Amino acid sequence: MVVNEANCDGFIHDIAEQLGRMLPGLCLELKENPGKTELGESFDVWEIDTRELRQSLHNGNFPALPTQYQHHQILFDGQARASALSEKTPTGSKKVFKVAVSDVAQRIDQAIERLDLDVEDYSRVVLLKARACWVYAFWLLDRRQVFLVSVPSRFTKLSEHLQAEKYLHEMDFIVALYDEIERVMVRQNDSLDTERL
Amino acid sequence: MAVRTTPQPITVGAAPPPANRGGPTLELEQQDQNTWCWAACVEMVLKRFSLSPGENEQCQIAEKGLKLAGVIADTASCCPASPSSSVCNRLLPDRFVTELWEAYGVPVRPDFGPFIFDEQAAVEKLLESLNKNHPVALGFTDDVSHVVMLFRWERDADGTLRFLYHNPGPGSGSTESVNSDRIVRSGSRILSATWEILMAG
Repeated sequence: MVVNEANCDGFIHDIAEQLGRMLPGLCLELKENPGKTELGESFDVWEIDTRELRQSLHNGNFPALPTQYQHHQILFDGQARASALSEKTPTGSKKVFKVAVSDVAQRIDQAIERLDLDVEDYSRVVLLKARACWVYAFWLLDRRQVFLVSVPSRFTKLSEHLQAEKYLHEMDFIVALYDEIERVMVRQNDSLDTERL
Repeated sequence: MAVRTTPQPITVGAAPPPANRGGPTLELEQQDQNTWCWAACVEMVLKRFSLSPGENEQCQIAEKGLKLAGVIADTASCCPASPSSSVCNRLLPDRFVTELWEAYGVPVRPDFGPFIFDEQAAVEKLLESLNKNHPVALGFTDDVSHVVMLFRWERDADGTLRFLYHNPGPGSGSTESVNSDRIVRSGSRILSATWEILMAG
């Protein structure tokens, strides 16, 4: 059974109250008028620093680090349509600082369904983001596996491993990510030469 | 305890939208290629102001920008955008983003900061642009760089200021609302360029 410790968090009512203030303006812009808005699952967010991938391949350590952030699923009329990010404050409370309406929420919802169906043995789970390359995955810490949730097509086109809804051993994930990032990413320092994607 | 929330999700109470808000209207356009955030942002503005009809599809915009920058040959074509084609799936340096706006006759005011040394001044400047109903393209730098279109501010009764922007992707586009204290710097993501569109929408 997959265990998501963030779901037990005592701050969820406070998060819901903050979302109640942030969502109406966004919904107004998008002409969304949900009859019922709900706060769904929450996840601790861990981050992979893509600059550390090469080192990780040498030392065999999975290069994910915990962040101060939590991801929150938001349901409009029962459908996962939006998500939010909150940050732990020095006083221990949580402040929501970003809300987004995007398809990523639905993909995460589908991944939740899969994990609950597939995984019978004990494993803690957190949400993993590969920094700056828009890859989302669930990291099953005790299984040393990742389940890919959302992967930009620039990766899926090129890599047979980096495909959504696929389980990978955590280090196979790092190898695949490293290969594709080395292939795709362009870095330049001069601001006028900065290239944006 | 499973991943799915148990026993039930929590209802979010609906407050009225903030009455205190401003900025132009703008529709989201998703980027058609992984590296075309810059082209999608230009497309949002061209379509909002009904500019260059017949030449304002994203692949046409990308083609124009990449030719301006000399990234692709003058004879190359980026239309229709094909997910399997890599010839035109290319990034565009900032200096050519400015040239691309100008090539479409869109007056812009580029600003390459730095913004991080006076975040409050940067926030005030963005507010000033939005209060003229000018959209603003925001360029962020992280491990890689990205651009989104800012179009709205809103302020709660308690004074909390937020910015709303369209993020063209990659993957899936989104419309996002972020507290103003995160617009210049959020984690490793830093605001590094702005292009104020000097047209009121």
